[in-house]
Amino acid sequence: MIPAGEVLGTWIAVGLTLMMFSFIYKDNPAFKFGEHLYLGISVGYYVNIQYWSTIYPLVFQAMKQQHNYWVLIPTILGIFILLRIIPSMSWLSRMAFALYIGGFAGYSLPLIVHSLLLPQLSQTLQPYSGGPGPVINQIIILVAVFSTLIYFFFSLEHRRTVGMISRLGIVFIMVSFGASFGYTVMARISLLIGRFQYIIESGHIMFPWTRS
Amino acid sequence: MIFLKRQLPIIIAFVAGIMMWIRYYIPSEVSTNLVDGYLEWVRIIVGFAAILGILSLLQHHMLKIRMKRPGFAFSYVTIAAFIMMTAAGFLPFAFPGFAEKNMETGSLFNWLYEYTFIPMQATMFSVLAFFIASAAFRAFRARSMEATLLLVAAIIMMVGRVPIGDLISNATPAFMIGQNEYHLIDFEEWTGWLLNVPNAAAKRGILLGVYLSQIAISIRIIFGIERTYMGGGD
Amino acid sequence: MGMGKRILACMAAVLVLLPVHAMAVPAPADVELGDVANDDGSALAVSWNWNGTPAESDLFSFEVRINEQLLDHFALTERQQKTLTDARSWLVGQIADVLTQRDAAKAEMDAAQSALDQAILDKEPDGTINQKRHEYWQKYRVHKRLDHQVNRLHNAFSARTYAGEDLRLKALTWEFLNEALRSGKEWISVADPAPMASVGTRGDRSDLFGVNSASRADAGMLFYTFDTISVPNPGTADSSDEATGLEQFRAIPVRLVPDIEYQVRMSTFGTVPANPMFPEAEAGGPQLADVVQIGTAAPIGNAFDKSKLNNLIFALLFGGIILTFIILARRNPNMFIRRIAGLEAVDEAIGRATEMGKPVMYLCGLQSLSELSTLAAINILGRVAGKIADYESDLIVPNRDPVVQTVAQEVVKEGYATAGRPDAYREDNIFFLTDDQFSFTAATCGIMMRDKPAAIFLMGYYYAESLLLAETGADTGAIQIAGTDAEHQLPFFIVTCDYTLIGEELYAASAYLSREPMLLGSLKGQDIAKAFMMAIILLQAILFIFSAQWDVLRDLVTPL
Repeated sequence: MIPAGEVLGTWIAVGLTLMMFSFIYKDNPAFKFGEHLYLGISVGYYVNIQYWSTIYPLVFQAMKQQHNYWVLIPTILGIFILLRIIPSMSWLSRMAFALYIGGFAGYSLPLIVHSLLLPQLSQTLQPYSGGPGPVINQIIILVAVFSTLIYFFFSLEHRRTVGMISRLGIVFIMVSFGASFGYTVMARISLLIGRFQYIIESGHIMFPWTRS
Repeated sequence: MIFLKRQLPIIIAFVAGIMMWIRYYIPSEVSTNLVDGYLEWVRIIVGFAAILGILSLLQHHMLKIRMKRPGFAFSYVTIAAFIMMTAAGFLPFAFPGFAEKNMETGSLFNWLYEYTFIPMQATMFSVLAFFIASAAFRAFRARSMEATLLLVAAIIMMVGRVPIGDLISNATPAFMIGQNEYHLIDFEEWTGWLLNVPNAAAKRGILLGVYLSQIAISIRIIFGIERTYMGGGD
Repeated sequence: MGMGKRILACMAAVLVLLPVHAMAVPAPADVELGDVANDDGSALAVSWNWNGTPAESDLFSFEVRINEQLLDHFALTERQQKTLTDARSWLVGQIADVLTQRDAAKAEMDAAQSALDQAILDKEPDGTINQKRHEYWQKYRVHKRLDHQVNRLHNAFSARTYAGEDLRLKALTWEFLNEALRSGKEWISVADPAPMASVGTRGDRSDLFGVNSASRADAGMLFYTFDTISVPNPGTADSSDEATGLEQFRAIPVRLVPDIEYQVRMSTFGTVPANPMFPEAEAGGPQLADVVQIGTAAPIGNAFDKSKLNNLIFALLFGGIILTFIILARRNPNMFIRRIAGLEAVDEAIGRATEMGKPVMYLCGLQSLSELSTLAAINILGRVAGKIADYESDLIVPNRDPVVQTVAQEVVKEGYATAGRPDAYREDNIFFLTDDQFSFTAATCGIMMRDKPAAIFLMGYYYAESLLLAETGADTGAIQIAGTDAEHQLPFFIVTCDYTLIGEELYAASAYLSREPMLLGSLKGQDIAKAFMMAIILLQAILFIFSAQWDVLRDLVTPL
């Protein structure tokens, strides 16, 4: 026996799925309804998540149970952002932005160097070994990295030699984008198939008597 | 006053930036607590900003209704759905027909999440399959050298990732170089090469530039050169 | 009983005993205890080789001898002490009799079991065997009942000490009940017996600047680093164990104190194989196989993490180059910047919107303001807003993050004010939609289809939805200018948008549009930094032609 809530829910879910699918055809009232419903639900969800997983534990519980009154500082800064509603007080929100953006800049700077920039650089520096194939590939990689970097030179005019090299860079960039594009196609198709499977499987819940 | 409005935010950004940067190199409990505490503070600040966002959305839709702009009736749907979902999560009792309250399993909130939010989200994601097809068609019509390169690489990739690619490869004549057998057309080999050689290399070139830009923008923020985010005015 | 039967019984007894002694836990060899490099002195590391091939099911644990510092950690306040002592004496008073009874019942049960086994071995008549089996089951039930009673008392004891939600006391209560499980009070375990497969390898860092850990000679050695004493010490309750009613504790690390000697030992455990004589009897269960005294060591604290030295050098170098060129640019403001096609088209796009009387839509990406590409998008928005104000078009900016929305409002307002059109600014047009990725996409696509903006800017960071947004925009016939550093989404923008700013071009855009000397200087600095990286790549490539061993430059840039 499937609970009534599940049967009803599945009807709604499949209905909404079809409404959202109608977007492929063109804008229509069914999609408009689905889109607006989705918007309302997702914002309601967002409010709950923000409150129950951030404000409630990090502010209220922290003060009440752990007597951690340090959280008053970000709370005040958060209220400063809200004060933007009052034009004469809106400059207060800058304090919050300054802490948020300034802190994140300092936080991410060494991380960019450590986990993004240096690994990419060191992976490019590979010795020539492993037979003619890998050596040729290694040379192609060097040429591609070089020409792509030249393409992103802004203070050089892209003419003559620089122009030719940056043109080569664009060739590599486009081949790379093509590969990336082709690679994603299959993943997207399988998502669509998954959605169709959901609709088909839901049939057994929507029409309980079809279940064996 | 001008100090509070102009200089103080820059000083805050500088102190916070330098502290968060330097602490990365110092192995200590204080350093770990500093970053954990900072991230928690940011979450709280952003949590409050959410209220501003919600107000903005509600105001936008209220205005639409009041001005009777085209499609204003749908704004009622958004507002009603928002109120229902919010109430489901906040009201301290179980709704009739549901076993639990708030966000627990078996609550109205959970039911709405499972039967409206999730299916719509999954559908929008799966719709991408149609869009990628029309994007590919768009690429077909483009007549530049760049677009052709992109398309050829994409086609090789696509064929190489489906079983038919193997069939084609195996049907082409094979020849031996040294100990290894090669096919005249070998999509599997080609896709691997495309991904690992030109694709990886070009991405590296792009990303190295991006990371440098990010370092530059971080430095500009810390030293108060970049302050668009603080807005203008006085 | 005949002689043959007796031999058989002896053999059976040997079979029962044999597996217990045949635990094949390999002995750890080359055990080394040392300081963990580049930390604050809160951790020690042990490395060892297994002498032989250990099985997945083999377990090991580390133990630290309790010293003053650890004692302090476990010290209780007077009130906690009293609660615990009271509960303890209550338990001792209640449980003593039950425990005696249970032990007696266990002895009787074991005797009944032996009698039953003997009867089976002696091939006694079925009736006798059945009767002995019946006796055994009766004894078993008595024992089970008493055992249950002990558990109930344990739970009642826990309830007494758990009062007041004192987590520390809770943890110690748990400890008290598990005292018997530990080998002795003098040692506490720093790692619960952990299966082989889960050995941590945090200890393999090297304090040598630029040396790759993979090239170290001791590959194959196992490492275990402990900076936590993971006995259920005063920690936080994780979840309750339904079976026992006791809560499980996630340990809060007890950090070691620098420059204090810690004595460490290692215990290995083997698994008891199933007993062929009694297949229903409990198999498995770790049995202590060996205790290895590892030695003593004192963790050393460092004020600076030397393994991050190359990070610091590169950050300072690149930061320094960029700052220098920003300063230089203030003296020489006319710097050259190459043409960026996508940005040349900004005026065309906005002009077209004005001609058609349609709005311009601008997206700042799907990320929060902490993502630097969002900031780049915000910067461009400021410039674009000024132009839009000039052209007297409408600007719509839907947002996914309320902070981004707030900042976008500020920036647009400023842009309109600079253009001398503060009256044309409409705050309501820069609004928040939702935090959910696909709901945001659906709503934005909806706005695109209904308001039909003549120009759409897609700047910032995007995920899979990039294609939905760009395709919908293209279908409405808008001029689209995209710009992102999300490398997976760039192909989709390239295909569907009229112009695409690739990676660094997104960051260069605000300098390009504003021609502000400081931003141009920063861009010039980035070019120099790029040239520097290219020099490293080129030099290392040349060095590699001569020898694969000459990898100084690669070591220099390899993050540790």
